[in-house]
Amino acid sequence: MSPEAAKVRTRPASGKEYGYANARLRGMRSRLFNRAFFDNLIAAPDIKTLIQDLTATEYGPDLEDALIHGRDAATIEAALKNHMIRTYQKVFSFLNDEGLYLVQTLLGRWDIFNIKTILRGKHIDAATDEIVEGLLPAGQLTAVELEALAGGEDIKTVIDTAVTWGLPFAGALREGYAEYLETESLADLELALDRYYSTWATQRLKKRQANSRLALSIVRMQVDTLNLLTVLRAAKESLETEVADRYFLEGGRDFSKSLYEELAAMSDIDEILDKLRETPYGKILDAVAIEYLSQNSISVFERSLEDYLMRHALGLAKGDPLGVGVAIAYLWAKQNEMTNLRIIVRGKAVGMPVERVRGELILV
Amino acid sequence: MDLLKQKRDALLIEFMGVMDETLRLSESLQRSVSEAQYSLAVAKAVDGTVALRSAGLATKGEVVVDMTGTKIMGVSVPVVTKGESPIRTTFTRGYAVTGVSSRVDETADKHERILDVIIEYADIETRLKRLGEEIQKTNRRVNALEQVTVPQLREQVTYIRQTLDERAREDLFRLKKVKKKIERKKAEQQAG
Repeated sequence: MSPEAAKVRTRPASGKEYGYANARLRGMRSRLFNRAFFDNLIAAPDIKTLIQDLTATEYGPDLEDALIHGRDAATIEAALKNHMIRTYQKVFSFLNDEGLYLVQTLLGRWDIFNIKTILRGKHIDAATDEIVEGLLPAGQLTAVELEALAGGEDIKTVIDTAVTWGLPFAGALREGYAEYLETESLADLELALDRYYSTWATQRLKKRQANSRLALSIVRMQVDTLNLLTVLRAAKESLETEVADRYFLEGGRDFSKSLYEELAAMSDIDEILDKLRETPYGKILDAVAIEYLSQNSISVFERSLEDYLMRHALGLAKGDPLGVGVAIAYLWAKQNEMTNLRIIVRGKAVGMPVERVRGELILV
Repeated sequence: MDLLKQKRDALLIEFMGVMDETLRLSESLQRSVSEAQYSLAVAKAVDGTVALRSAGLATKGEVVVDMTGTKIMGVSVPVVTKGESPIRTTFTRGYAVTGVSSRVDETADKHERILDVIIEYADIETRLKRLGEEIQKTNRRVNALEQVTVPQLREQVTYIRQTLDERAREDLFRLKKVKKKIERKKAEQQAG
């Protein structure tokens, strides 16, 4: 971690006490939008009315800041991005040490996402501003740190900076860089980071405490989802088994390497779905199999798996009232709310029929 | 002129064939664009512009197009062919499949398919344009021959014919006069 990121936080709660943080989170959760509010936004005749409705909510300050640049879908999305960062920072500020450790491990995927964006930008010699536009500092790395990394001359400089700052994934970057130099394929470097995250997060959360187990369940399901989608995408594109095997990520819940390899060797999606019936994911994928056939799109399965993961994350709030589940559920619910807002705004911007917008909304 | 008319008719037959193909590709392009736009809207909505921008940085590439030429009824037309198909697979697009959603991936795929159709469309549209230009040119030539050159030549033929007839009549008249003169001289000699 960079010297700046290592600064000591000031927060009221410490140790393993969740009472204060969870009370605040419950208050924040009560302000999340309900179906009626979403219906009201969908029914808004235009984006201006939608902005007016949103300005009266928690999103008001971020919208007012962003509206200087215009009153279109892109501006609203920029406001949502700022709101997400601000909300995450707010939650980090009052979470206790353990809660922060667990939540930041889960949100470490955003650091990986941002590092990948920087590497992609450097790979094609993109301007720093262009790279910064594709960043979302919702993890441990701040916007300033990410901008400093994005300002690096090339991929090697970015990796050297990561090593100097002692960032946890610097080792994976160094290993992946050697392969990148040989193949010039960015995918290898990205895969090294994804492999690192699943192993790193699983190791960090592999403790006996109930809170760690809750957070671990999320990481494991995320890894399962990624492995499942990789297998399905590989089958759709008739990818060679050996190539598909390279993309396996360790740390899943119900998806062992042997099962992955067995599925990757199958050439037909029907066959894969048959085999998956033995796992908890079988029912979820079966439910949308017909929709997949009509649309011929893997995103149908992805959406179904995302909903399953989201339901699991939201369900964590119903467990221990003095555990980290409340924080995890809130962060996931907040992200879901923002995704739904984006769907409504984008739908309105491109003139999507109301029923179609409603169909795209996630778990309202 | 008959040759030109034959050329124009042959070009028209070729033009109609190319026109059908152009219409088919145009419809296909419209369909592809509409599907890609919808996918893009959904990906922007669900994954966010940030995710799309990030994936976009990884997928930057170049489209290789070969340009050659051929002749249709003596008309030079450029031939545009794909050097390498712009359609890539999920696993060759540039990013690791484990870090990009299938919505973003499918959006990229649909936009690559648009590129593919655009290259085909560029080829056929240029051919259609060149054939159209040549048909217009040939038509203008046929019209010019029919309306201007041939009537002018006909007028010239009439003028020349009239002039020649006039000359023939003058010659005849002159010959008659000479004959009369000779006969008069002969009569005077006999009388004298």
